[in-house]
Amino acid sequence: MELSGMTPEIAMVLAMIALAIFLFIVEWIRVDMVAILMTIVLPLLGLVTPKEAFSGFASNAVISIIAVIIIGAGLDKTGLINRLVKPVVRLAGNSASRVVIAMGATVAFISSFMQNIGAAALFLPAVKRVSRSMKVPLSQMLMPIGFCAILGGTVTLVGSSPLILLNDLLTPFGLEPFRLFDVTPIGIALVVSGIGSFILFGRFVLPRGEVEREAGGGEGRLVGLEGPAEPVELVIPQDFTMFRDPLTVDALRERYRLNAVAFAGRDGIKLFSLKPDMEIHGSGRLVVIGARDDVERLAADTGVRILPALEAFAEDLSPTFSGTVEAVVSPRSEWVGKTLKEVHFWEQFQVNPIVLYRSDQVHRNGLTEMVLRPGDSLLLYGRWDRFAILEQSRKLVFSTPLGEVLKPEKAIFAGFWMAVALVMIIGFNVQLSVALMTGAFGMIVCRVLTIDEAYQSVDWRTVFLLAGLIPLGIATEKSGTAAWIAKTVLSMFGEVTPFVLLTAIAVLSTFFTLVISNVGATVLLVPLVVNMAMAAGADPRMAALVVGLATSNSFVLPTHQVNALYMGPGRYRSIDFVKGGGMMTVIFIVVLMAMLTLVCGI
Amino acid sequence: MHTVQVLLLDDEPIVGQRLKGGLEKLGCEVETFENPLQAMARIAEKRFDIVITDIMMAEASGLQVLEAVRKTTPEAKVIVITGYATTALAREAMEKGAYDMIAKPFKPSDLRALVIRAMQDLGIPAPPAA
Amino acid sequence: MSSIAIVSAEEALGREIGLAVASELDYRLVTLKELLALTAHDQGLPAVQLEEVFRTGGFWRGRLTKKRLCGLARLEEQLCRLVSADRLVFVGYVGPELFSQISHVLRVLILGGKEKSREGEAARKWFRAVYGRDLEDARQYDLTVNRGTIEKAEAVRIIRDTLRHHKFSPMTYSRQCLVNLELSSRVKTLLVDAFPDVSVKAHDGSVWVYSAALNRGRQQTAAEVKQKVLGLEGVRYVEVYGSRKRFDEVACGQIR
Repeated sequence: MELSGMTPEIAMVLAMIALAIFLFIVEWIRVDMVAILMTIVLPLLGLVTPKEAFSGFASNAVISIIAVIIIGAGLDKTGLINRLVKPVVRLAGNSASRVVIAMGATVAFISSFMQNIGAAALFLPAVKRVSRSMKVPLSQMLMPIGFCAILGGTVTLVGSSPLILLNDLLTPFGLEPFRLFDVTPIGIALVVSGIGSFILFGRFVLPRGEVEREAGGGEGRLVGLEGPAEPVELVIPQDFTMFRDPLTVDALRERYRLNAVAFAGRDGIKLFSLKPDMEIHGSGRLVVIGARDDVERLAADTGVRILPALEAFAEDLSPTFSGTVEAVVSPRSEWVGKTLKEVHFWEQFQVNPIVLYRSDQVHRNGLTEMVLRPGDSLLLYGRWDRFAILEQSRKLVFSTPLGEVLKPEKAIFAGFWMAVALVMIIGFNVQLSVALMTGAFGMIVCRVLTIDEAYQSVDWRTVFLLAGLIPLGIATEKSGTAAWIAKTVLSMFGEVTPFVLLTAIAVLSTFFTLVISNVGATVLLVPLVVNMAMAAGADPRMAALVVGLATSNSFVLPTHQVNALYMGPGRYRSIDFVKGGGMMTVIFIVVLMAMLTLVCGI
Repeated sequence: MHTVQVLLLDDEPIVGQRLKGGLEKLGCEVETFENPLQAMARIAEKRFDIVITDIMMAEASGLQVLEAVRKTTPEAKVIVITGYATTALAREAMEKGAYDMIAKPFKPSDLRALVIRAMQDLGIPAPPAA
Repeated sequence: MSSIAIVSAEEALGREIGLAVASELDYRLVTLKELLALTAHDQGLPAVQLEEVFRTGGFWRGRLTKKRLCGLARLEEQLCRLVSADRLVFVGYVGPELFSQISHVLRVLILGGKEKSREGEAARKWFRAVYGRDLEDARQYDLTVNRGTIEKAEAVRIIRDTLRHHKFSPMTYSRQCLVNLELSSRVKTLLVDAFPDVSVKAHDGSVWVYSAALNRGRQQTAAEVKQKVLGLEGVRYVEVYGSRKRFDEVACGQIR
């Protein structure tokens, strides 16, 4: 290889790039630490100014990602994501492959007209929920779906920053600009092949992870109860109470060992805690927790109908909104020496006590009348928002974590501010970071989430990873390393066919996008390749397009924003990206070149 | 000893189905009817100690049944059960000699308590189960 | 045993007959004034608030204000308890619906002689505003005694004789009615503050509640009302409606 034009700076930058890539792969220190290392070493070596070294933290990209995470958290907290994802999940049914297909296609569609990272952040909580509810490890789904978000960026000309930039870069050369959907056939082919390859080969390249456990111990079983303890919904027949002695919540417990936890009468008003002497009346829906045998015995005795799954209560009693916790009567609690009835437990807190543990005894019946002692432990079933109130009252100490409290009533605000941000971006061309931060701020002001919750939702790993790599990009450009690589690599080929040239450009763009930002790579490469293509007799527009698309081919290292975002939750290591992303990168280039040949006829 | 003879009349089958067993547990012999005309025919041929009748029925009113019982066996206790209870109806039934009236829906235990009271008034000792 | 409700616009007339009937039959006599005092005492309310209930005028769109409705509900609740204790002679004009539902309460209207007092006029006006009909509509009573033509002793004898009819004796049904009324008035007392248009029906521990404010869009409020009512002693089942039609169908038609 010719090394003409090599300067000490270029050599140092190349060494730093090599070091970063090496550390990314061997993972002696975590990737975000590698990024932080760059912010220290680059200014020490004089490759960037100290100001430039930390300029990444104030960059458009980092601020955008912080705002997008907050917006995503807000949307999730209102259950909006749940509602959005529900139809997709229903469509997908019970197969993990179909979930990947359905969600991958949806996320690709969304990311084709909005920022990839935005779409990816929106889907992260949804994929988490699906993983939990379908008991499929998160790592099996997150990477394919993240890749779809990146690939979706190639479907329209506004899908990703490089493509948005592309026309601006073509103007100085007097080349015809691309239209919005010119890239769509190629983009769709990329998305389809991306999903397809993971369906076919996913199991070879994706790590086997563990299914994340639900907060609040929703593992399908309750401690101290025999058999599965999922809530079961029953249809109470219209003639249930007629000329029959009434069945109370207490009697249900004593005679059938079933805990009635929710009831909706003919009026359709749902109650989520049932006091012991309440009667169960006809034409209603009752939800009980207990062993299957006991439920069936009740059905045989009284003619109630067992539903195969929750119906009227499907949403209310989903693990998202309710579950089981264990709470202990503390020695200083005001409740010591009183019965649950005396403290108006049902009326005030509206959760259902199911079991009381006292030393080694388990009590299921007559909980109402038992005088509470310090150390008594209560197994409770109810809605998270009610538990939150109970916890705040400090009457009991919770020994299991509570599920988060959703605020469906705030959905309209969350949706509104999301829309405001989108309109600012699409309609008014406001800079991404400003528009998204407006959305995030609006949600916090409207109390969709508190400012503290917003801070907690931000993943600092992602922030430092992105911000820390920005000075590396600056150094690469400033020292002339990028230009040097481009020249050197392209000159290696000499006289080549347009196809080989474009393939080389694709590989080069892929490499650049991994190391420096996709925008930086595009800005740097487009003028170069246009010149090269003209010299080689290839179509310069195609050469530019290859750069614009191949800068989305960022899968081998977790340096792309989307990959960085999904790395933590998916418990991925760099090597996982090398395996899964390596496959994706090869397929990307093959499909890209095939489509260019077929569609554009290079 | 004399077994208490009970006639239970209601045009809704579920009433007889669900109440018969509980009354039999009190030691009563229970005949159930859904048609008031058939019930009245039965009253004409057999002596009942306690007659439990609905009021609103298609073929005849429970008040007619009440009058029929009063004519044939004035000492029998007639208990009126109705889903359309009003003050006027209650007073009319009492005036015509009903032993008691209870509004539907009622619990089987409510009716059992009433029947036990009627049995005591008839001079029959209450069953130990009660 | 049965009870007697003596209603008269002229307070003095009613009290005179009530006193005589009570001593003749050895029943307990409670007048409207005593009911007020009892309610104030038992429920720990200022007597002024209850007296306010009977103020004429100050009706908002022909209806009592919230506070006065609440007071009235408490008076009716108290009255139910008094009637439950049996052998009562009540002299006063609250709770006519209450008595019309209990077959073992003999309702007697006492009409005065010629001159009508100012207090009598106020009572008639109040009754019409609150209950929407004439206080002296004879069809609403079992017995009407005109003191212009019937002497006191004669009136007492008529009342005593009428009461002997079998149809005025208590039965399971009328006792149940009383229990239901007592429960529904307790529920009403609980809710009338927040829902002045509340209607309540009770039967055997089950309660049906109507208020236009409890419509389908207000699930949360409806659920809270349900919990609140379930918390009352003796309530074992509750349904809540925001549609008058549905409430009437379910609660007033067939309670099934």
